[in-house]
Amino acid sequence: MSAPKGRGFWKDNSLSLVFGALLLAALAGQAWWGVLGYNAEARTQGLQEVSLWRYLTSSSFAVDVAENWQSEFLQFALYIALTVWLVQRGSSESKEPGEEGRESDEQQLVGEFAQPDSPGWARAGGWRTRLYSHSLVLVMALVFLAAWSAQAVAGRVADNEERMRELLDPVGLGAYLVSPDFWGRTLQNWQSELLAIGTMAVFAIYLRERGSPESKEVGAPHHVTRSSD
Amino acid sequence: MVRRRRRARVRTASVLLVGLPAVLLLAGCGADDERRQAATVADTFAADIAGDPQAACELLAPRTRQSVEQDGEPCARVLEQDDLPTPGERMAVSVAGHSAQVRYAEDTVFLSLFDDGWRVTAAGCARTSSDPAVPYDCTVEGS
Repeated sequence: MSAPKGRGFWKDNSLSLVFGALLLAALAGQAWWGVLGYNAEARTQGLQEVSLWRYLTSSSFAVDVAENWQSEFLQFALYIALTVWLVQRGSSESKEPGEEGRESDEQQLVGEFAQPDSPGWARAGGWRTRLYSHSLVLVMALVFLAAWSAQAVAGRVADNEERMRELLDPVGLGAYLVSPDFWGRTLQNWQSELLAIGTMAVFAIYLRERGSPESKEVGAPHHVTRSSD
Repeated sequence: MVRRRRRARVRTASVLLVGLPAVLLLAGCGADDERRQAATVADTFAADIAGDPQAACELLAPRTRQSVEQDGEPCARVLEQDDLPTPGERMAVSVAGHSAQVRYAEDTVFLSLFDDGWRVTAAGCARTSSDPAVPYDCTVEGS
């Protein structure tokens, strides 16, 4: 992450900044189209329309956001964890076959092999190094669990709002957790994430994007898993 | 720089871990208020049916009132003739978003939230099936 001098904050962080801006734009678009859809349904049923702000704080919006967030973080947590042990020969998204596993302290620059500018907890040893060694998956998994829980809580409210409009009894959280609405929302997101990341791992064997770190060099052979580090 | 980034990550995680339960707690308090208000409207509607049907009409959601008056009869007369059950003791109140259900010993009332408060969308409702996917059968409801 250390950058040559003179490049400046914006250039050095352009990837995060652009994705942050795209996220906000997409969320704004989702809110705008979402409130239009919500209000169209309300008019159909002769019910009250809501303001954009009211929709932004509604369970309907929250569940639609959370169901996508949970699947994204699950996808990355799974991919980060599974690529420790599983490989795909020829894919730039994989380690070399034969390199499966946690690797040595020397390879991972921890403990006595830590460098002067290594993170403090990589050098500290003990539980701190063990915890830091899994911090990426742990945080991804925690955010996944938080988003999935939020999906369950908000999804139940949104589903119950709809159920009572249709003169049905509301359901408790336990019943909602085994309901078609909860698992439908969950699995439709999981399958698309798994498809995307699995496809990425395989496409990266044969296809190239010149200049992208997610791709092998254009001229790298298909059988080579990591053409350069 | 590395330390600052690490602090930022810890701050983000703290916001997620502390902020989410706080939001859920606040949502819970708001829901209590909404439950009370929905129950009050349902109770008033039940009392007005017997004592002041015209006032009960004012508590109906627009689509429901339209449905009640569809044969050209005044709303108050239709409600009097509909012979809605005496609800009895209030058993449970559920609120989710803009919808609510108030269950009494002998009746169930559904409500929806409008700009001027909770309004009754269906009353005199009873279950006609043990299948939870089958809606209540209601004496008064919107079309």
